[in-house]
Amino acid sequence: MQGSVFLFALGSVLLPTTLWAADPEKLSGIGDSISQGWGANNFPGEHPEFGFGQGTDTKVNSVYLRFKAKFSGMTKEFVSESGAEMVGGRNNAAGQAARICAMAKKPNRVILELGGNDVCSRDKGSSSDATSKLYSVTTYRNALKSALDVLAGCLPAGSQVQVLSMPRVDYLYEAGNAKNFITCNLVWSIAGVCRVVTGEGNASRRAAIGARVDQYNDGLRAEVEAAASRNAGKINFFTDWRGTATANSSVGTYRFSKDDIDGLDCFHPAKDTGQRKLACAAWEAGEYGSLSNVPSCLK
Amino acid sequence: MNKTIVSLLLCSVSSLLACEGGRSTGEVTSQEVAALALPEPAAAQDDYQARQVTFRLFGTQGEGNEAFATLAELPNFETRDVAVGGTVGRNLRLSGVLDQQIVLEDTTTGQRRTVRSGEDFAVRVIEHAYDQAVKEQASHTYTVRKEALARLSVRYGVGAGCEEVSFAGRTFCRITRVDRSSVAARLDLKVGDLLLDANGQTVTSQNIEQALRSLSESKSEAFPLTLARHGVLLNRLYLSE
Repeated sequence: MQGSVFLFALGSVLLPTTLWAADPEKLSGIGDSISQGWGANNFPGEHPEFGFGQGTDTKVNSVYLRFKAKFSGMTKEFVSESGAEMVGGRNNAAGQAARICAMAKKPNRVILELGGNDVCSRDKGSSSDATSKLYSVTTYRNALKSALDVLAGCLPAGSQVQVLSMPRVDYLYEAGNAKNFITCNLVWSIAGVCRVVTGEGNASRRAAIGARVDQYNDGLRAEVEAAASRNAGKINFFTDWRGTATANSSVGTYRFSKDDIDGLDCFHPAKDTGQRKLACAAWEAGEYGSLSNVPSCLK
Repeated sequence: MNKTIVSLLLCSVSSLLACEGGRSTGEVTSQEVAALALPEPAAAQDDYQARQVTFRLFGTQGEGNEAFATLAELPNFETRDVAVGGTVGRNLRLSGVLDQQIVLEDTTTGQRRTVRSGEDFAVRVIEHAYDQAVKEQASHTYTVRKEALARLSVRYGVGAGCEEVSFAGRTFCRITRVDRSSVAARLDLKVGDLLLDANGQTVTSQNIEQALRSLSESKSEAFPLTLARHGVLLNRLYLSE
């Protein structure tokens, strides 16, 4: 019996399409400046119309537009905030989840994309450990668990919650350097963009930070599986993260190219490339897509 | 024991849940003020207020002097990072960070409690009026108690300095200094933030003190402030309470 329950719960994580899923009616999103399409068109500020989740730009072909193409009555209401973290501050995952629960009409599809600011908003680590100022994996997991529990407490039965893995910020740094080494490094320095990696001259220390991101994503998947198990038969929780073995198998393993990021702060996905790829990957990792198609989205 | 029973009786039935160890939220006794972990110099007893708070320990990180704990205040989950030796409010001192657990001491009672990661715990937090001078109420929206902020300005100053830089086609003033306990610190400004304008006025290295001080002196109910943090432009609004 316990084995059956385990397999049932595991299946709900690996296979987002489930028998109990209700038809999509309303999509909401928890996220940060990536969800808000910050700088996606090379102009400062938020441009949610170019966001991978909630965008209305046909070239981005967001998750929302893809739902809408299948279910014309689909609506959206995102609570994502620039600067938001999984853990820190007031706009963290659990705080945003509470705002979803306060909505008059609850969504039955939620997409969660956070984590970059949990790394980028921290100070540089000690001389011996580049990750010493970063949140521990336990802290990261408890923050996500709190958010998933809040959602589980208010979403209607049959809801689907997709938790995307977080991008490796050291890959974004490499993409910026490839785009324009001088300009991007100047902008990062002036604007204080993710200095924990952009201000780190030692490649092995940057890799250590990237490895912590991988650990966060491993923890993310464990919490998503646990939430799926706790809420089996009511709400389905799933993620794109499948570990680091296969490149471009998830958002977290994707190595952004120079063309994927904006030319403004050299760190956010551009609308026609990075955002479009994220939208495709999120959709294919979801209930109407196929995980095997994710790598082709991220080519 | 008898003292506890008497104290509990003083708490009405309706407010029992808001009492801890028989002490009501709200007023703070002179004995408690004398035993605070982080007293405000020259503060009066009625400058302090107590409230009942439930926290969740998200976790701990770092080692030795760099160790810190991350607490989320329920039900809104706003977090704060507290270093070893640091305080929550004025009466709770983080006296130890172990492997995914913390030791928290209430200096007004001498009670110590151990809390594990993921655990919820209720505590009585004593705060000074300055601690409530600026509070984030919604996304990038803060409420301001102008009287407390004006007092704080006199006591600690505005406490900020900046230098002009260009970014994204605009001239910002990058904050180079935020003094501890100052108005700038209470406004949640940090070194490295790029200030664009405050209440419609362009912020420069020459006028930053005056621009931020005007928040407590302005008769306007709303005070907008535009800044960029980590490259992302944020439009903040400070509203008078």
